[in-house]
Amino acid sequence: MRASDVPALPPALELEKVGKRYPGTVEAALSDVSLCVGPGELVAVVGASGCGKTTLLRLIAGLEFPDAGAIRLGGEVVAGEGAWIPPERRGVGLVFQDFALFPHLRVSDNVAYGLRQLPRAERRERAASMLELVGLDDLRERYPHQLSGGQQQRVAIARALAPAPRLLLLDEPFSNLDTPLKIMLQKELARLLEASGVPTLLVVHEVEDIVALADRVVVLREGRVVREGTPVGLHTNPGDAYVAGFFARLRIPGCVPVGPFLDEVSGAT
Amino acid sequence: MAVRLHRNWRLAVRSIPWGWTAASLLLVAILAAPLVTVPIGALRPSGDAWPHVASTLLPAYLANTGFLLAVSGGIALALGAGTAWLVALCEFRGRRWFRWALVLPLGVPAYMAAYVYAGITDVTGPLQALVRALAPGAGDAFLYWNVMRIEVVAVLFGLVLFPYVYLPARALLEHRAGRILEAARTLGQGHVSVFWRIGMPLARPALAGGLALVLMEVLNDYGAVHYYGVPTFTTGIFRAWFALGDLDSAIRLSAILMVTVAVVLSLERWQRGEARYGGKAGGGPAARYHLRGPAAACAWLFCAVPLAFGFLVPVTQLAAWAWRTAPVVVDGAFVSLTLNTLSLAMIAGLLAVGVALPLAYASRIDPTVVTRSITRIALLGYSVPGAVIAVGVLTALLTFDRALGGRAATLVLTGTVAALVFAYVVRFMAVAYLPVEAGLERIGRSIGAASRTLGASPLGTLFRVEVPLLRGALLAAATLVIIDVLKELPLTLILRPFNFDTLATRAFQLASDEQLAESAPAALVVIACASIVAAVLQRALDRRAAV
Repeated sequence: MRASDVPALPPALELEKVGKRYPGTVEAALSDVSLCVGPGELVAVVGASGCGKTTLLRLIAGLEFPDAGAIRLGGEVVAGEGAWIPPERRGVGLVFQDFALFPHLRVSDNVAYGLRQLPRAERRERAASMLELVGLDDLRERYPHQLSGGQQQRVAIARALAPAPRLLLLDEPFSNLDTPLKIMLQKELARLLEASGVPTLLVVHEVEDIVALADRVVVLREGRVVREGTPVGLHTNPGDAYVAGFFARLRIPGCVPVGPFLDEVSGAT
Repeated sequence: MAVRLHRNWRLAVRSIPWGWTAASLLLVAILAAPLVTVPIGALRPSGDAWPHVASTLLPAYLANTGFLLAVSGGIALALGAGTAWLVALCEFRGRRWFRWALVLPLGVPAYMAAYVYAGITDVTGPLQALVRALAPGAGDAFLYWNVMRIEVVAVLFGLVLFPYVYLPARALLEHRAGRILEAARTLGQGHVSVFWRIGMPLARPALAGGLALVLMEVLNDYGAVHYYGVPTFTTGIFRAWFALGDLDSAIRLSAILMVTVAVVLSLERWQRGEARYGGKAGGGPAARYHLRGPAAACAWLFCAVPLAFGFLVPVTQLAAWAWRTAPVVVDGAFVSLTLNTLSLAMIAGLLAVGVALPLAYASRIDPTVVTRSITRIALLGYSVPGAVIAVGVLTALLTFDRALGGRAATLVLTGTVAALVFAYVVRFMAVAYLPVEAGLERIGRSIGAASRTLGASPLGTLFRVEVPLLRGALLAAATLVIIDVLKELPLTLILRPFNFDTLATRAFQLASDEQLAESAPAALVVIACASIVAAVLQRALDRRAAV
């Protein structure tokens, strides 16, 4: 069979000219945003605070309604073009910035929460294997408030991955964690995402090590996509000071950034 | 070694803020004096009437009071939780309006609603007149339909008291549960499942707190059960006292009632302590469920029906009566009666908050078990029927006056407005205290601790840090007391100075004389004031939350 005969899989996520303005505000939170996450891809969205990153994730998850454009998941229109699929039927896992664990449920019940359609035994088995994946199987009887920040994050990821979502969204996954924990967890998260094979979109406000592992990086500024490329591409050729500012901290072996604005950046940081 | 131990002991003693503890003990002692007479009195050997009361009347009191608590509590819980969920987490036509309007039944005293529904369903009332006009034959059967039943009273309580549950549940769902509820949705669970498995468990502390208030209001009511002829503990106390002349039995019945309330309160307390969670504050409300078609109609009805029967129907009927009688009833004296009542309520509200704040603060900076449990004693007034407090206050004040006047036995405080205000503060201390305490809990300890490490004294910290942060809670506390004083009946009936009336006592007297139409203007003013105050309070709280 020739390669051209294999039907190309549709992208896991496709945003087409999506716009959103909150009622009572003048500036649009997002305008004309188009981006795409292919099957199995890890895409990072980078932008300063208040540039619309969280709005982007809420639109994809179905927690906000777009004013313009269309959102497609696996080729199916879920918002825009007259279609609307509510969040509970989108099959999108979202890991909130503050994790939003259910405080009244044990760790194992948190993870099993999205598995209601499965029979009880299967549900328990799946929750156990997810907890094993994130390395928390010995804490399954704990309540969320008895866990550290890093443990809470891993529970949140296990909970989002348990129902086998077609897309995983991570909102500032490291902003609530200490630096040593951050470094450790970034490697672990990359391993987890690789193992699960779930296409992932993550948003961060500063370039972390995990961004280096992304297949593609999208830079967002004041609600608009200003740059898109591979981590290495954006690192070596950022194009402007805003983008360079994010990538200045990143260390990629054998990669030397070039450009007239680098002095400006290093002066600023 | 001995010296060292001694110094450590002295340091330990000095670390306790004795001034605050002493002040709070003094306040509690003053507030508890009228309440302590009840259990002390119940320890005395029983009088002649008690065996009779215990064997013949007590079983009915227990059964009826239990029935009212269970049914009214259940209805208020279902209506309060349901409307809070719809308003906080759904989008449907009229939602914004309902969000505001659903507090209005709080302004309708249960006894006034009871009079109105008795009047509406009376033989001469508009309902039977309508039935007779529509179907002349059917009127006869309807003539004997009796609305004066315990079931009707229970439903009426539920309809006017459910906002006590609605308000805290809505606040929690709107402000503290947003991300958690959204997480449940993204995990693929349906509306009903999220409501039962996440929403209600999260709202549990708010639901329990509101329910405790509802139950205490049910236990306190005298006007409605008296009018409908339902024998309960409260009517039993009045009867033992005023009809049988047996103070002893009245005190015993009150003591049983106090135990019931103590159980309700400690259950609420216990389950709140159990729930160490409750969602993080802030973060904005959750994405709403957009309801359409039949679902939206059901949501609209679920909000509209309690609002109609708990507020619109009683107010419309009262307005119709008042339209007829106001030209005669409303005169200069009526206006000054209204102003008197309002200023009385405001004085009581401010004073209650002025006492609640140092009490709550003292048990915060000295959080030993002793201080905390002693403070709870000051809150019991809310659970004791107004009439019992009235007599407790009378006894305490007579003792005080006698000590003050020596042999002359002049009445310094007894029979004055000051005595009435004191009784209101004793009665409504819990109403003022609980919002203040909850506000302090919400602020957390670290902010106050930061102020202390920067060199501010506890008092300075209170006024420079906690009070500005507590503004909303203090306003809410004072307002709730004002509403309660406006509606208060039995305590005022007993303690008011000679020739002194409030709107509530005026309305009660006219209604008891079967002059329902004449009582309407006073009742309407009470409801208008209480409802406006409730609406203003809610606006103020919203604005604070929006900042």
